[in-house]
Amino acid sequence: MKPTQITELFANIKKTFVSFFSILMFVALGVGIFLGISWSGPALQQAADRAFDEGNFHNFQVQFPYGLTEGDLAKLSAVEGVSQIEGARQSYQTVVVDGQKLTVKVQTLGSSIDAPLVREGELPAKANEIALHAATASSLGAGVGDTITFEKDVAETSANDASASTSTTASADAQSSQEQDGMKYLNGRTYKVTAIIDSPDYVATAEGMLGVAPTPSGTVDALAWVQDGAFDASAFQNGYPVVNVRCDGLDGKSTFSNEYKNDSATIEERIVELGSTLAKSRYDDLHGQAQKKVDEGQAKIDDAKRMIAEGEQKIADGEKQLAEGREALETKRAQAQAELDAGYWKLVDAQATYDAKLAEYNAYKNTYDSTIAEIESTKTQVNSLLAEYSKVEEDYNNHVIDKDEYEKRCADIAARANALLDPWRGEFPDLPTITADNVGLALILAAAVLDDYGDIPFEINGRTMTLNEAADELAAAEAERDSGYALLQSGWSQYYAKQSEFEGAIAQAEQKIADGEQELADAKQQVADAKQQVAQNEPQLADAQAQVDAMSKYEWSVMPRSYNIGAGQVSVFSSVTGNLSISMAALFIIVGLLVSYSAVSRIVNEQVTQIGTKKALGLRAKEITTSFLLYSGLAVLTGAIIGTIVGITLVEGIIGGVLGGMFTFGGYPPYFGLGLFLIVTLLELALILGTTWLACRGILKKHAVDLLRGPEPPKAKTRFYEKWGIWERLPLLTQTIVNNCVNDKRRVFSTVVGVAGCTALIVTAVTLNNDVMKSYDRQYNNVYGFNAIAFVNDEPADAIDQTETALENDGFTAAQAVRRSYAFKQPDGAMASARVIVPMDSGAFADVYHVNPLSGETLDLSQDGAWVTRAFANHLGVKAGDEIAMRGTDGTVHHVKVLGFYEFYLTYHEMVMGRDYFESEFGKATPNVVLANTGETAVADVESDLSAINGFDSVLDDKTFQYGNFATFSSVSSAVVAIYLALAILMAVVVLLNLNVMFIDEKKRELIVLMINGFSTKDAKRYIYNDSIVLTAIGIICGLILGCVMGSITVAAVEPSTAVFVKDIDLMAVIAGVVGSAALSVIMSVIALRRIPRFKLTDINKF
Amino acid sequence: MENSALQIYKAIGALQAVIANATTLEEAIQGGLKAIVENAGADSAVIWYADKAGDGTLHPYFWIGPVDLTRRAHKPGDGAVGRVYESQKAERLFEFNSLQDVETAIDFAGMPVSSMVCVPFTSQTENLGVVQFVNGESSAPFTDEVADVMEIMAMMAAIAIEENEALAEPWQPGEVVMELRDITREFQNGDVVTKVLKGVNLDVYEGEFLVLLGESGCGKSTLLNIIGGMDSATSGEFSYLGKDLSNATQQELTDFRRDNIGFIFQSYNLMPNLTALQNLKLIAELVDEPMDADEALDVVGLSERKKNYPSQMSGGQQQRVSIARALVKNPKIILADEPTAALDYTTSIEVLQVMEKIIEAGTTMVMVTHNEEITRMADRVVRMRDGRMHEVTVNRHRARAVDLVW
Repeated sequence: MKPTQITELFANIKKTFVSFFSILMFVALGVGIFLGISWSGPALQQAADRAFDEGNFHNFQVQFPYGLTEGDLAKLSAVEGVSQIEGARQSYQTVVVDGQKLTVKVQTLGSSIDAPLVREGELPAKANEIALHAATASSLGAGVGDTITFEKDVAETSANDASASTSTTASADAQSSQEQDGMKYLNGRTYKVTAIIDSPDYVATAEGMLGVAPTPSGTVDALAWVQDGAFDASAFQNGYPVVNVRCDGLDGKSTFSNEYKNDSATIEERIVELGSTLAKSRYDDLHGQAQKKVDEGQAKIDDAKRMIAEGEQKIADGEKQLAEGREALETKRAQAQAELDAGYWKLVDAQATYDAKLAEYNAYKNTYDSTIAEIESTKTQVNSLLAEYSKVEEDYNNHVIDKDEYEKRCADIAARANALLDPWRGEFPDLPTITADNVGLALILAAAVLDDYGDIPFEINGRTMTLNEAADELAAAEAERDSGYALLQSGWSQYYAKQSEFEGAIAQAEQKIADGEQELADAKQQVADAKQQVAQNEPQLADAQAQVDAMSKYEWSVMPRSYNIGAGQVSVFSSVTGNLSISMAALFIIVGLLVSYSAVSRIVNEQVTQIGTKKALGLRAKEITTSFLLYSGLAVLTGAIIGTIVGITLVEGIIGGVLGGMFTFGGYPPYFGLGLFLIVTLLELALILGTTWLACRGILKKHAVDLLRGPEPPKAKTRFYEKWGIWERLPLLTQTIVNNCVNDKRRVFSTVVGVAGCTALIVTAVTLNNDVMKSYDRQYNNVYGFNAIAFVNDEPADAIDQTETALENDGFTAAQAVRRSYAFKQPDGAMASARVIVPMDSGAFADVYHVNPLSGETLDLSQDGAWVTRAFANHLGVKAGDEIAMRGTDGTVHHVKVLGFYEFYLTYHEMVMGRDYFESEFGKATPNVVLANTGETAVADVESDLSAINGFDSVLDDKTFQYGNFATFSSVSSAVVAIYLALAILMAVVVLLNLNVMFIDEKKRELIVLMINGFSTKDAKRYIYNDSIVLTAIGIICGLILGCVMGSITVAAVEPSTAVFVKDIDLMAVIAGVVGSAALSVIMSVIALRRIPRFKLTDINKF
Repeated sequence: MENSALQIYKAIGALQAVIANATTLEEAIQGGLKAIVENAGADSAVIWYADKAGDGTLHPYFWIGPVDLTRRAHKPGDGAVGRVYESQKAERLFEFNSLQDVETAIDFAGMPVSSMVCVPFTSQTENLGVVQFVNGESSAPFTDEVADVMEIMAMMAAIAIEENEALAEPWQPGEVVMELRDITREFQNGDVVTKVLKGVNLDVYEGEFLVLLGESGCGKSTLLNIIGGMDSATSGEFSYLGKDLSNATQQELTDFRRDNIGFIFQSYNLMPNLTALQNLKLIAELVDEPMDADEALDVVGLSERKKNYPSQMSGGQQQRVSIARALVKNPKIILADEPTAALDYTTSIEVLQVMEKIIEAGTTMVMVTHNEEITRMADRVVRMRDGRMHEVTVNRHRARAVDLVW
C-alpha cells in the first residue's frame, strides 16, 4: 500500500467521519452484542469451572440405593481414569422455623472431593456439629454458634437431586421400609452450627435449585453438612449410597466442553461396566441377608404359634381346676355355714333365756334398789329437817328468833316431816308422828326407824319379803346371772371363732380361686398378645418377604457433572445466551450491512467526481475499489475491536451481573475467545467488504467522463399510478412524499429498516419481558385454578379428607389428587422427571385445574391415556397415540398412552390422567395433595389452620414458588431487555440519525433551493419530516411484524426445554414499539433537522 | 524620462490602439476611457451622453468607478459636466471643492472627489456629450499632462471614427426597488478574513435587466446573494422598496425572498422527484397570488412537458422550468445566476428568449453571467472587479436575444 493511499484513506475518513463512524458503530454493536452475549455463556461456564476446580468438584457421582461397600469403593478407585473417590451419606430432616416445617438435606461433609468453601466459622469437627449452606442458612434463621434441632428423619436417599432420576425413587423405595419415627439415619437430633459454607455441588441459588426430597412437598428448603460419623452407618447397610469420583485426567478441561464430555463419557462407561457387576453382587448379598432375616422372622412366628397353643392348653387346664376348686369351696362353705347357723341359733336361745332372767333379776333388783334409795332419800331429808330444826333451835336459843317464830318454824318442819314420812308409815309403823313440840326427837327417832329397813317386808315382784331377804335372793340371782353370762359369752366366743375360722378359710379359698383366675386371665392375655403379635408380624413378614422378592436389581447411577443442578443451570443459561446472541446478531448484521451499504454508497456517490478524476488519470477500478475496501475494512476492524471491548466490558458485565446473582460464586470475570472473535470479525469484514464492493461496482463501471459530470440526480420517471385519476386529486404534499419515497428506494429501504430494527428491538424486548411473566399469569389464570398445594401423608387415611374438608370449610375451592413424579428418558438419554396428576374427583378437579386441550377437543379424563403438557410433547417429540415410558418409584416401567396436549407454561413437565387409567397402569391411586384456591388468604394462614390435622404435612404456596422460577427467567430477560432497549436507542442514534442526516444532506440542495425561494426553516423541515413520518410509519409497521416474530423467537430462545412460554403479540410491546420508535424517530429527526437552519443558502453556488 | 511622462506616453499609445480597433465611437470612447483610467491613473470616469432627441440633458451611459450614477443627469450648463457640454471647453478642476461645485459633487456621492477633468466629446458632426474623469482623495490630483491626454483621447476618437451617432432614446430607469450602499462582505476562514465585497453602491430599478459581469471571484455572485436575501452584508445598507433589510432577521429575509424574489440557477436545481408542474406548484403555494403554474409553463413553452420529471427533460427545458418556477411566484425581481452557463448556444438562446419575454413583461431581472454577449441584452451592465463595481454601462442600444452570437 502506497503512503499516498494511506494519506488519502485517512483524509477520506476525516471527511466522511459520520459514515465511517456509522459502519464502525454498527460493526461494534453487532460484534459487541453478539460476542458479549455469546461469551456470557462461556464466561459463566468459566466461572462455574473455577468454582468446581476450587471445590474439587466431583466429576462423577455414583449413586446406588443399596450403597457401595468398602470393597466396591476399592474397585471403583481402581477404574482407569478414576483418581479419587469418597463415599457420602445423606438424609432428609425436618426442622420447624417460625411455625413452618422445612426440609433440610443433610449430607456427609466432603473431606477432599466437593470441598466446602467456608464463608464463616469452622467446619464441623464433631459428630454434633453442622455446617449450613450459605444461600439457605437464612431460611433456617441460624448462624454460626446457633443450635438447630431436627424433628425427625424423613427419609434417606442416595439420589442425585439434579437428575431426579430413577435412583431417587429407587432409593426412596429401598429405604421406605426403614423409615421410622425418630432419628433413624442420624445419630443425634441437635447440632451446633459451626460454619456457613458454599459447596461446588450447589452453585445455583435460585428457588427450587436445591433438589427434591422424598417428602410430601418434595422440595428441599435448606442444605447442611455433617461429619460422616454423625450418620448411623447401619441404617445405610454400612454402605455409601453416594460416592463422589474425581478424575485428574479431566482437570483443565471445561465441564461444558465436548472434549470434557467425550473423555467423561469414556470413564463413565468404565464405571458403569464395573457397576453392573458390583451392583448385582451387592444385590445378591443384601437380598440374601434380607431373605435370611425374613426366614428368621418366620421361624420366630412359628415358635410363637407353638407357644400360643401350649398356653391355650394350660389355660384350659387351669380353667378346669378353677371350676373344681370353686365347687369344693361352695360345698365346704355350705357345711360350715350350716354348723355356724346351728350354733348361732343355740346361742341366740341361750341369750334369750339369759336376757329374760337378767330382766327379771334387774326388775327385782331395781325394785329393791329403788326401795332402798327411797328410804335412804327419806332418811336424808329427815336428817336435813333435823339439821334445819337444830338451826332453828339454835337461833331461838341464841334469841335470833323469838318463840313464835321458833314455834312457827318447828311447826313447819314438823309438817314437812310428816308429809315426808306419811308414805312410809305402812312399812314403818314405828315412825313417830311429828309435831311442833317434838320435832327434834321425832326426827331423830324417825331417822332411827328408817335405818332399820332390812327387816321390813316389802312386796317385791309379787312376793313379800324383807329387804334383807331380798338382798340375799338378789345376791344369789346375781351369781347365777354372772354364771349364765359367762357361759353365754363363752358360747358366743366359740361361735365367732368358728365363724372367723370359716370366713378365713372361705377367703383363702376364694383368693386362691381369684389368683387362679388372674393367672388364667394373664395367660389368656399373653396368648392373645402373642396371637396379636403373630397376626401383626405375619403380614409384616409377608410384606418383608414380598419386598425381598421385589427387591430391584438396581444398577449404579453414574452421573457426570452435567447432571448436577448447578452445572445444568449454567448450561441452560449458556444455551439461552447463545440463542439470544444469534437472534440479536442476525438483526445487527442485517441492519449493519444496510447501514454500511448506505454509507459506502453515499461516500462513493459523493466522491463520484473524484473517482472520475482518478479513472481519468489512469487508476484502475480495482485500485479505486481497494481504497473503499480499505475504508470499510478499517471501519470493520476498528468496530470489531471496539465492539469486542464493549461486549466484554458492558454486555458481559450486564448479563454477568444478572447471572452471577443466581450462583454462589457471584460476579465473575469476562470471557474472551479468540476463535469466535476472529470468525465474527472476518465474517463482518467479508460481509461489509462485499457490500462495499457492491456499492462501488455500479459507479466504477461508468466511464470517467460520465463520472466527471458529478453525482447524478435521482432519475425520477413517470410511474403507473400517476396515470390514475386519483393521483391528480392528491395534495401536492402527498404526491411529493410518494415520489420522494418511490424514487429514493435506497434511503427509503434503509430508513424503513432502521426504524423497523429499532421497533423490532423494542417490541422484542418488551415481548420477551412481558411474555415470560405473562406465561406465569396465564398459567394461574388459564390452567391452574389453585394457588396452594396441601401435602398430606398417607397415614392416617382420612387425613386427606380432613384436609380437603378443612379447606372447603374455610371457603376455598379444593380437590384431592395424586401428584407424584416419575422418571422418563430424555431424547439425549439422560433421565428427567415428570409430574403425574390424577384427580380423585374429576368434577372438583375441574374447578382447580383446567386442562385445555390444544386441539380444542373436549377434555375426557375417562379415556385410557394421559394429557401431557405441550412442552413435554415437544421435548419428547411425541404425538397423540404415542406411548411414553415412565419409571415408577419401584423401578417399574409404565407405558403411558398420550391422548393429547394441553396448554401449560410452567418450567416442568406434567401430565394429567384419569383415576381409572392411573390405577390400571400405576396401581392404587392414593391422593397425597389437595389442590386449593385460597384466593387472597395467605397460604401461611392456611397452613396454620391445617396444622392441627393429623397426617397433614405442609402447604406450598405454589403460585409464589413458581413466581420465583419465572423471576429467574425474568431477571435474565430484564437484562436482555435493558440491552435491547439500549440497542434500540443506539440503533436509533446511529441508523436513524445517520439516515436523517444523510437524507437532509442529500436533500440539502433541494432544501436550499426551496429556502431561497421562500421556504421558511419550518417549511423546509416539514418537507423533510413529512417523508420521515411516512417512512417511520412504514418502518414501525414492518418493525412490529419483525418484532413480533423476533419476540417469539427470543422468547423461544429463553425457554427451558421443560417449558413453552406465551408467544403472543403483546399489546404493550406493540404500544412500546410504536411509541418508542416514533419518539426515537422524532428525536433523531429533530436532532437532524437542526442542520437545516444552519444551511447556508449561498452554498447553492457550490452545487 | 520621468515616470509621469512615460505614463502619459503609454496612455497615448494605448489610446491609439483602442481607437484604432474601435468600430463605433461609443466603443472608442469607452475603450479610451478605460485606457486612460488604467494607464493615467484616474479613479473614475464617466461618459455622459446628451439626449439629442430631448432637451439635451446629459445622462451617464458608461462609467468606471464604484458609484451608481444611473439616475444622475445634468442639464446643459448645470455643474461641471453641463458647463463643459454647453461651452464645449474642457474644464480642469485639479483642486475640486465640492462645496463650490455642489451639482457635480452629488454625482459622486460615496466617493470624495479631489480633482476632476471634464472633456467634451463629439462626432465629426455634432456634440455628443462629456467625458468626466475623477480622482478621489486617496489619489494624487490630476496633472495638466494627464488632462491633455484626456482631451487628446476625445479628439482622437472624434477624428478617427466616422460615425453618425444614431439617435438613441435615453434609457429611463424605473423606480428604484433596491438600494445598496457601501455594501461589504467579508468571509472568515480561520484566521484569514477575505473581503469579497469592498463597498458596492448599486441601485436596482424596476423593470430593468441588470447584468452583473466580472471575473471569477470578483464578488458578483456574492452581490447577487445579498440582493436575493440569501446572504447578509458585513456592512453597508441594503433596502428593498424603501425597507431597510441591512439588519433583517432570517425570517424577514425569508419573507422578502418568498414574496419578491424569483431565482434561476445555473444548474436548474429542480426538485428531481417532482414533475415540471409539481416543481412550480410547490413554489406557487408559497405566495398569496401566484401565477397559474400551467400558465407559467405556457410562458416558457413547456405546457406539454408539465408531467415530465427533470430527468425526462433536456437541460434547456429544465432551465425553462426553472424560469417558470421563478416566474410562478409573480416576483418583483428575478435573480439569475449564470442561467445559460450549462447550456449550449441554441438552448441558451431559447432560454434567453424566454427571459427576454419575462423582462419585457415588466419583471426586473438581475443576472450574473460570464457571457459578454448577453450583456447586449441588458439595460445595464455592471462589471465587478475586486469586490467593487468597476464600471457600469447603460446600453443605449439593447440587443434581442435572438441576435446574440457567441
